[in-house]
Amino acid sequence: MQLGTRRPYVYIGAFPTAPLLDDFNRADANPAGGNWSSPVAVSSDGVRVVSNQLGPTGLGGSGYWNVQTFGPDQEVRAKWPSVGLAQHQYLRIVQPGVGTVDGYKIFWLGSITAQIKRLDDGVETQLGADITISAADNDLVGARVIGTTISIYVNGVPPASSTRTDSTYTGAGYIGLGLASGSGRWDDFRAGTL
Amino acid sequence: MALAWFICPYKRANPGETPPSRHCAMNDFTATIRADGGDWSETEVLGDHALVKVRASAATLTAINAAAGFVRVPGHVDLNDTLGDLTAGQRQAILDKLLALGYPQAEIDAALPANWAAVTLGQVLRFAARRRLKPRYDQNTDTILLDGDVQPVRPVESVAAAVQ
Repeated sequence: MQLGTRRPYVYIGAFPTAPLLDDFNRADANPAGGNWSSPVAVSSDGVRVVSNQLGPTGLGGSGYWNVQTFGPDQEVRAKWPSVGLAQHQYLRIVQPGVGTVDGYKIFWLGSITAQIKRLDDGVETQLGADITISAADNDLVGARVIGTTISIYVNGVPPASSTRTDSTYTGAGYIGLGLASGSGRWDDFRAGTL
Repeated sequence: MALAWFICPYKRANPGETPPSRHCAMNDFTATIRADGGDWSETEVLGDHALVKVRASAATLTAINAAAGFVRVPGHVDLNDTLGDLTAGQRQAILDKLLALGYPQAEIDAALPANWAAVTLGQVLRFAARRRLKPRYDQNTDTILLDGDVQPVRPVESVAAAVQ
């Protein structure tokens, strides 16, 4: 009997499995520098380290972990200190900082709404409906992309109807964070390949 | 609760702002659909449109069908259903939409016979989902243009399975 060529099943643990890469517990730095490059979106300002957290250099900003690309299957998680301030996370980012940036963006609008978006040459296309979430200050929010499935999590739990399917970008890419206001902050950044 | 397929446009979410953002116009009905206990899922297709399957109350589906630019596939949800019972007007509305998406008449004629007695809903939707183009932003006109490279399209079967 000829053996088949099925891929072995690989168990991916409960979200998150990615290691803590940056807790930002160091002296303020503007721009953040080091393992952070900016921006992700070409129209965005950058990121800085402020009060042991990641903040924007302007009225908003974005940056990505420049040490390596991750994936294709990858995840991100970070602490969201103030859910009153909309913020972003990025997965499978290719060509960051230029008008041709591609990948995926999780838009955390606030305590009750999130959106999953695809980036095509910097144009954002929302995938599916607004996602109803329940988030409070200092909650841990994140996302995974496995194959063509993008999922979001709040404190390790996926909200209802919170997965999206998209096969446009399936390769490795950078992982990043973004902020939509000058007062926005991220903390305890985790990211990794699954 | 009821199910329906729609062909509907995308909308600019933030005119005049960057980064430019767009969403399926069905999202305007998300709150109403969710209030019904329903859901929706989509695949982006040619011409800045999406094929969307919706589960909602009959009243909500009727309201959605009245929205500008929306076309509902009447009477059929299962991809294996044949569409021979559509009226000439219903069939033409779908064909007109396929043309409006940007599919040439010759391509439509080659794929879908004039007599839809044996044509399935799946055939029509798969044709509509043959391709889509990559978006780009024209800063001078603050316009999102859909004229880039051909991009992969989420299969209609995936959308069909996502909303039951």
